[in-house]
Amino acid sequence: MDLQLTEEQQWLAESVDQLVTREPADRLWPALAEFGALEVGGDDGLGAVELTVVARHLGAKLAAIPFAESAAVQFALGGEPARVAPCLSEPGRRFGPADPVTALEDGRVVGEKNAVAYAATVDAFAVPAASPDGVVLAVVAREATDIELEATLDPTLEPALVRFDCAAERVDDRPALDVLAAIAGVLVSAESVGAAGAALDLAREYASQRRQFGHTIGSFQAVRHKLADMYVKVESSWSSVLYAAATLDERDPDSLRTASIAKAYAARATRDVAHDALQVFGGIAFTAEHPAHRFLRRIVARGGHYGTARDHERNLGRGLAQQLEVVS
Amino acid sequence: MKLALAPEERRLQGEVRAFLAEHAPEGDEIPHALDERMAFLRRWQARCYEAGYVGRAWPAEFGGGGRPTSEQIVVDQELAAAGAPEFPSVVGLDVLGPAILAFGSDEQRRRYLRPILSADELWCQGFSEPEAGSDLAALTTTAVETADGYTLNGQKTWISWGQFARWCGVLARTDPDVAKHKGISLLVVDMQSEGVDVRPMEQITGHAEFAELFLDDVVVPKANMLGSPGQGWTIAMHVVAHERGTAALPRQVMLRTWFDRLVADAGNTARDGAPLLADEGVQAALAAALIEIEVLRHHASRTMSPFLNGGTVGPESSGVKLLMAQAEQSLCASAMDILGDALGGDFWRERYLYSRAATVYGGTQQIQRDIIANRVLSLPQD
Repeated sequence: MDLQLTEEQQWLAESVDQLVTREPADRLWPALAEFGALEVGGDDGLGAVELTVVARHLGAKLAAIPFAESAAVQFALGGEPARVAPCLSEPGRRFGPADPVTALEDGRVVGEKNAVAYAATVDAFAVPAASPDGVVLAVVAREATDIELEATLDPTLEPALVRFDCAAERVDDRPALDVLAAIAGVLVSAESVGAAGAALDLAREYASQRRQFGHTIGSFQAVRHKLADMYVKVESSWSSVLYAAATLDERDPDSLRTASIAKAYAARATRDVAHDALQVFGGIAFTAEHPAHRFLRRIVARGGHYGTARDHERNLGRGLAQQLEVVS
Repeated sequence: MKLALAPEERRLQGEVRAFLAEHAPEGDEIPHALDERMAFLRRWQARCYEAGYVGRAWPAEFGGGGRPTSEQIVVDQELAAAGAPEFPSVVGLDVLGPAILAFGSDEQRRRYLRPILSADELWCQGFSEPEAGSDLAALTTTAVETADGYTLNGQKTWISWGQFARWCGVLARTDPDVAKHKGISLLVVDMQSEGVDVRPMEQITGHAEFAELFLDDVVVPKANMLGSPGQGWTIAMHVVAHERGTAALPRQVMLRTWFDRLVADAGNTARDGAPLLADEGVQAALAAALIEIEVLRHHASRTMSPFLNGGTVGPESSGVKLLMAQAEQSLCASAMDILGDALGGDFWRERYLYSRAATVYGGTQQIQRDIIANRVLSLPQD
């Protein structure tokens, strides 16, 4: 067993970091495409671990592109690099991507999906839908849908309610929806780990300079221990997310459960880090100008995508009872 | 990055499982009285050593198996998964044996290592003192150089298995005139020497697994110094940092077996005619405990990867220790919450009480955070 990044994976991490630092926002997607970060699967493309590494570095810079969405679709379902968003949640219903009320009838998709990130900028949607032959995945062009932006803590993600009453461009009748939900959850968690790591770095720098009572606040044990806990939460979230990605790459029989665990843990732990970063900064972090709140916003919004921590915990707990046949 | 076991590791895993299925003692086979219990556990360790499952990664010339570290981890995880009893040589295997391997002379390695593996000679560690707990470097036990060697005086505490140990690795001050970390040496004390007095202490669990150790003009030959004079602190910190991380890999497996037992207990216990496990609140509490144990596995696996693959691990292991203690305490507290005091039985009551030590031994949670703040985050001191 070896959970260290390989030299190639480290090189990928550094390259993406340079790229996202250098490129203006509107050039980032084509630059990633040119670099090859959108080539997923197959012999030469990126696997789940590499995608996780890319997503972390995009999250650290709060990049606002549908990378996690598009990469998840390609990883789970194949296909060419394209801006596409999976639509896995339905309004008023518990998270259950494989149990949609949205329907496919006579080649038309009819229904509503919510919390669809970057709905207005992607080219297409990947939509689980109930059909007479079971649950399928329909690909629908964005122009054919009705998009209504949702209220959110992080407007840069542009989450929306998407209404479908339109023809499917393509239908996958045996889609790996559980893998799609798992990899999407892992990739948005990686984004949050990136954001939390960046917030920790800023808080550590600040605590090393800011002086009160004649000392740097980073010399006070209450602050030092808070920063140490933040570090452990960032690193353990990263371990869990990477581990889950590796199980998806290796088709480990426990990969879906591991992905659920990583998503639930990282959502809470990275949010704790963002909260604590605001606390270390004190009042200055409550000003709109200060960057701390942008990390908090991204982490909380992403924590709600592809199943909240509570959704995943509920499924895990129910799974334990099902194993012992205490519930059906 | 690779999770799956290598073919050789998988073969070993199967071999260990078969061995344990045949030989691992059942809980009721292990005698309760402490002396008989120790004798039984020594035979158990000796049998595992003969099978090649103890010190598998230690050099062959000193009695080890000469195999990769990752193989010992496979073995340790299988032992934990089978609920096999802990080896009585634990302090020698995890702390002082590694110290002798890394810092001892060849003569010391030849003398001390093999009996640690076979459980012929047990070790204890004389580190903490009544007035030097977290502030270990403030220790006042002295070792004064004489013509015969060193003369030791002082008091040590929290000596696990001290009453059964043949040897004790004692941290003592050999130079009172230098900075407090620099004047400390690590000496091997023969527990049969004149002037050694061991007094077992009863713990909150009712067992007496640790002891106080009084050293009164105990003479130690010069050849019993590990490393060089003044190197004691460096050696102790090095081996303790390693132990924090390596212990977590089998420990998380053991916690997982406890967790599985808790799930089964909750499935077998009815409340208002329905199993506790059917309750959504109980399911959520179990999920939370499972997440902590699994994340410990993920984080320990990643943090210890350099070590498993032939390198070393530094202060990052403090993060693993923090998670390990938290996971154990959460699990045991959840068990008491879910089952209640009476229904938990001796198993959970005992583990619950034991778990309160997890955030103290091997460096408290507060010390682990200090280590991270100083050595990982490099926060300013003033």
